[in-house]
Amino acid sequence: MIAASLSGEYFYNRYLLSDWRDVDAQSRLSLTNEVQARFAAYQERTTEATKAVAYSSVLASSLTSGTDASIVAIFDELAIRNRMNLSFELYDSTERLLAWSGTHSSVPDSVYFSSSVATLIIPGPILSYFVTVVPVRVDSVQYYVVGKRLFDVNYPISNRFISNQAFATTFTSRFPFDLDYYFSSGAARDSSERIRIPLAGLSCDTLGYVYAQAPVLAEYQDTAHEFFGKIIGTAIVLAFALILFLALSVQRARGSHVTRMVVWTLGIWALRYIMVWRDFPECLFSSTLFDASYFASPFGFGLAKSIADLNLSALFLLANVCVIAVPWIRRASSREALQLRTPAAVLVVVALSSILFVCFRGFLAALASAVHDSSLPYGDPTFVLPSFELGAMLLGLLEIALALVILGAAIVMTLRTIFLSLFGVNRPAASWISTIAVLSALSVLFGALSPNPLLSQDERFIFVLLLAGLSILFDRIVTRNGHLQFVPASLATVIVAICFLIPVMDNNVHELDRIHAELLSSEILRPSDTWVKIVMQRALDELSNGDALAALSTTDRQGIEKLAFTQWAKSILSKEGSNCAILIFDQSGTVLSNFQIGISPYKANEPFQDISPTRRYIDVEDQKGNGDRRFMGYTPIFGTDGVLIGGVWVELATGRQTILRDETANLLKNYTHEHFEAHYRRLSISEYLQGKLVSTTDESIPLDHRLPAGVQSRSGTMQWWEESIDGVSYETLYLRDQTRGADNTWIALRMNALGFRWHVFSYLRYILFYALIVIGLSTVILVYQLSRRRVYFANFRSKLLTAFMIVSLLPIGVLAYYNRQYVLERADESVQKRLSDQTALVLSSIQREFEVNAPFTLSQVTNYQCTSVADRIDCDFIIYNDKYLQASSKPEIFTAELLDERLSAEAFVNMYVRKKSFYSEHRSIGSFPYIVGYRPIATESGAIIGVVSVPTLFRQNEIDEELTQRNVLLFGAYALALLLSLAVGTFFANQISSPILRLKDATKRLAEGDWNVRLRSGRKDELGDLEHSFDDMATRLRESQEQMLAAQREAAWKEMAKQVAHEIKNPLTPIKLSIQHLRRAFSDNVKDFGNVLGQVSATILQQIETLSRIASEFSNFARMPERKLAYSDVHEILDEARHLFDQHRAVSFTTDYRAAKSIILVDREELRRAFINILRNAIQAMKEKGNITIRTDSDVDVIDINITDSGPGIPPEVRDRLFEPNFSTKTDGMGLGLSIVKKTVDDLGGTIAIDSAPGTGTTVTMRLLLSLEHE
Amino acid sequence: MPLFDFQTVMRYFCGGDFMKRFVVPILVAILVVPACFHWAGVQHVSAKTPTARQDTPAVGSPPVKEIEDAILQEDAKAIARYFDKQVYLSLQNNEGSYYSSNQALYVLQNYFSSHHVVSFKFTSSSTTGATSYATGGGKVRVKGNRTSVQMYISLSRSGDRWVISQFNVY
Repeated sequence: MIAASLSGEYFYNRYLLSDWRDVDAQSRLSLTNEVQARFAAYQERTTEATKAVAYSSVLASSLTSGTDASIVAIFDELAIRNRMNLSFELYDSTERLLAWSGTHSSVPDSVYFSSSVATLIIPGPILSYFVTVVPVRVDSVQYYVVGKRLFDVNYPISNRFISNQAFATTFTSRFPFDLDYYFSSGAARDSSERIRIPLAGLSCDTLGYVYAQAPVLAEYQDTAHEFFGKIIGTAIVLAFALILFLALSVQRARGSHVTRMVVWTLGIWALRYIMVWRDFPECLFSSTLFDASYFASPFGFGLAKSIADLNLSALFLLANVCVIAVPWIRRASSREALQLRTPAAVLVVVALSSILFVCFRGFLAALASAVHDSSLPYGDPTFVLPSFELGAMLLGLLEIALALVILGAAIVMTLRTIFLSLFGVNRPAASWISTIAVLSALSVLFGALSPNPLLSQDERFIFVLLLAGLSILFDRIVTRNGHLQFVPASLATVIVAICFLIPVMDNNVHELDRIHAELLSSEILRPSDTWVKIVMQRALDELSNGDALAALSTTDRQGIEKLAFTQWAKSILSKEGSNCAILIFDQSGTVLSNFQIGISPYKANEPFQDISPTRRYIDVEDQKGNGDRRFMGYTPIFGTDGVLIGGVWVELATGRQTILRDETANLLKNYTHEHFEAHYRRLSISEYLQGKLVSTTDESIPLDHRLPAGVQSRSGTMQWWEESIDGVSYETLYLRDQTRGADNTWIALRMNALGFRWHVFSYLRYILFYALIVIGLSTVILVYQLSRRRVYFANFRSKLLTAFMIVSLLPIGVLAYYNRQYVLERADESVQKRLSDQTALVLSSIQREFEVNAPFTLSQVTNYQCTSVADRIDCDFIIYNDKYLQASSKPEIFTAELLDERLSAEAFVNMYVRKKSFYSEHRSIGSFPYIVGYRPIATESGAIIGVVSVPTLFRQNEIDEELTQRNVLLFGAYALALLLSLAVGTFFANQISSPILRLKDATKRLAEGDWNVRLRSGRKDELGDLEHSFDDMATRLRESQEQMLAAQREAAWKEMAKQVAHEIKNPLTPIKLSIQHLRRAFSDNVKDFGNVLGQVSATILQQIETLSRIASEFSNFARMPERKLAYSDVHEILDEARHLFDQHRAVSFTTDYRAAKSIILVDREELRRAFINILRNAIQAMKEKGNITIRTDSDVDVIDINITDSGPGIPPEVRDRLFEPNFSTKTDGMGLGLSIVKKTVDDLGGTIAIDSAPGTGTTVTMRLLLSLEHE
Repeated sequence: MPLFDFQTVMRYFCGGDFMKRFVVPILVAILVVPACFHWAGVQHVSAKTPTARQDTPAVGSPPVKEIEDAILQEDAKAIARYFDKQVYLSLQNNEGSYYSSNQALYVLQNYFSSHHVVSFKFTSSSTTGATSYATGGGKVRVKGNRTSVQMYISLSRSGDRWVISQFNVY
């Protein structure tokens, strides 16, 4: 694939170089076709939508009737059809606007009113519109319906509310590349850099031209290089991943745990670095998760250079830790003591503890980096669930925390196994206490030897205690069922990880607040004059550049009017965000364009009175002695022929307290200061002179407040204080102001201290997020298991818990939803009430203002007058004369085309038609929502002549803050209720399910033959009765079992006695016959009586021997001798038994003793006899020729002994009866050998099994309990 | 055979009496020595202690030329060497914000990966006390097209070195 990619790139480049002319022509043609086709479709849809409005029956009937109701119906009709971001306007034959919908207003043009359907594009310096005009006749009267759509946006400001992307439905935004437009005649033709594409109207006339970038060879080459680079990178990563997979598969089959661990670790991190090297998977797709402006850390040479990279690295880390640590946890959970020599033990304890604390420090460093090296809004109180980017970040951090916790638990449990060897397995508490004590002590030593600001001693203690708690929990979970239970162990790990994560995160976020405040302090104390002069010089250069010259040289009235704003937006002034004013004059000093933000210019009239119109001028002026200064500058604009054609006047206000003043709407703010105001804790500035407060932006600070005595006495220019003023707690940064050479001036930057409620809210929302993640993952696992028909969660307790959760969460969720809706409605009502009061205040103020100064005439109201009224009543407002803007206290919002200069259709209908005294509505600019209140301005006769409106646009921060506080309260209460219901639900689920689960376990034990199992319940309810009944049943079962066993025993003894009697009779007969033969020989006086005597006595002795053997076997079976128990090594006993058969030369023995532990408590002789019996049977089965393999293995507390022969095997019908007494396939013996072996093993609490088939040999497997105490 | 047999290593370390004989004194030592350190008042540095910034005399002139060379070479690491702990970064068409010096390095690297500097020069600079400013202009190539850019940097003195507190590209 790599070779193919390299070849592909090479040949593609050759093709481009050789055939570039054809490629270029083809690209231009396809681009032209695409743009024209899209424009035709865009035009057709708009025209059809406009025609639908024009020809609607509602419009016709309403226009005919002409009543108030019909006017409302027309407005409603236009509003209903206001789709596809289309606005509609209805004009009569006199070009008077009758009704409208939407916000896209512009001055009507005579070109609108043609006799046939027409389309046109209305260009503007900021917003351009596509317009369709449809003439319609109703009752012989001519009307015009105009449909408008935003065609192109060239907005010079870009912030989080306003940007070209915010107006996402323009024609231009449909293309993935930039387009420029030209709507006048004389558009330049195609060039090597641009393609000109004509846009045809309905009557095939040219509405304008689109300019698109022409194909560039270098771009094609770059794109090809990038494309083939992605393929090569992906191929390298996949190839290495495959190699790693194969290597791990081979290693898994052959290697030990340690080698597997090393190969795995090296392999996956090599893979991760290859991914970093090849930018994988970033090279395959784009996402904000790869954007460094959200988060980027230099850790690990690129392992955390973005949120996605951090997540991937965290996943690799988690996988790595799981592979290393989980086997350790399992091993340590077995309560198997780890016996080490003392130096080794000390070394291991110190080494593991050091690893633990180093990892913890690394974890804290990672969290600090996650907060400080990121722009994510961790502290933003307006979110309950985090954004996609923040959520991904929090997930990555949880993965790191999980890795730390798992590794920590493994280390703690390993340390504990060392102490188990000291105290013994029967004293687990002592081993835990020792582990915690030693870790705590070493944490102090670690802190003393390697101090670090990220890791305090308290945090180390808490860390040790939490890990110890988790380890104990693991230990209990494990010992209950003999193996690690995945679900509870995972949940416990996640909970502990969250306990580590959230408080540390909270601390870091808090610290970041202080860093932000310190940054602001550096802005405040920065000597500004030099910088402002540079800004002024730069601004004058920019404002008098080619754009201004070009605009002033044209007759484009609208373009010239907007020139001050567009130039401001492009200049350094908007980037710096200072309050400023820009005036653009012609050569006679007439103002052509002006834009002001936060200040009113001094030089609005007679600009050339004090300065030369042809020379640049800069000056500075102090204001009112409060530290604020006004910088003023002027620069002339000369035409291309060197003649003066105009000039630009700039005024710039500076002052430390203007940084925090809300004089500029958020929509027009630059990023520099928006950064501070987006900060969730409001900052205030206070200034102290000689210890006395002289000014403050926080009205709640009393004017007689004095500088704290300790501030001046401490050294340093910057101090953090926690203080309380009038019962309100603050975190305050005191700064010594040395910029004016006065040592006794202090600036205080205050922010409200974080209260308990805030911490609860902060913690709870993180917990909620992680709970949702866990629930989501659990659901995925559950669905997967359901699909595989392996449901682990579906036990009784889980079902009960789920039922409790549903029963408790559903009402809480529903209640929370309706409560939140209620709160939002109340908040909305509160805002509306405020707006009602404010509109009434504005109305009375302007009426008073104008009645005092002049007769009340709305058309004479100016922006300046509005600003002065607004300053006095502290409320910004807008005045509409009839339906159009008359004046505003914030004219810059209209100059910037952020607000429509036409009254909204809904407000018009409610004010003028429905005659409401107050009306409010929700509106938005880009992605910035706000509410507007309207109140009619009426004459004494009651005629409505205008409307006053107050938008929350300028106070939206305060409203958001109030809403946030309500959210905090609401969310905190419900989250607490949720947690409580979870805890209570879990408690009751356990209470109800535990007796049933106990009953289930007891029944299982009973079924397995444990007749002594009893529940001994103390409950007094039905479940208690059930448990008592179980106990009674178990008692009766045990009694009947004992009776049955006694009967069986008696029957067995009878059978045995009969058999023994039979066996004894067999030798007695030859004895009797021999003695009779001897007596007859003696009485007959046989000659060779001696020989007869010898033969007879031999026979008798042989039979007596047989009797003795019978007695001996019977004795052994009945266990008559008393046992002598002792700790014995199984391997030694096996060797003793094996050596007894050394004389069988044709039989070979193979031993494979794998058991690490082999000590058991046993009667050594008894076990030896059992082994001898098994070995003898094996040898006899092999006809004394073949191989016997003896293998041992040990697990946690048992040893397995396997004895395999190479004999002919045993048929199944025989194998099933092998352990029955008196069963034998041999001609001699009583068939008691294997019965005795089984009894021996049973008495030792072990098991024995025989695995065999004809022709495959036989394996006897014994499992005996190890004696762990002896270890 | 495996390269490393864990059980063999464990068996090597296994032993009984040694452990029992010396473990108590060693445990006591482990417990007592850190306590002594703690009681002796060995304090770690707390991140939450109030900070105090001390002014130090200026050393050398602002590294405007070095930064200009680094911009010309699109060397984000060389520029990042002068970044303050928190630096305000505003790049073309991107939301300006305060970034840590670590993060700012990557943001700047990303910028240079798509904006190739064709020419650049600081045209004016000014130093007053512990602050310095420099502005300049140049051209960058984006997808084969050249566009003009303006750059403004603000430097401040931190201890004995100059650091960039603002880096703006318009």
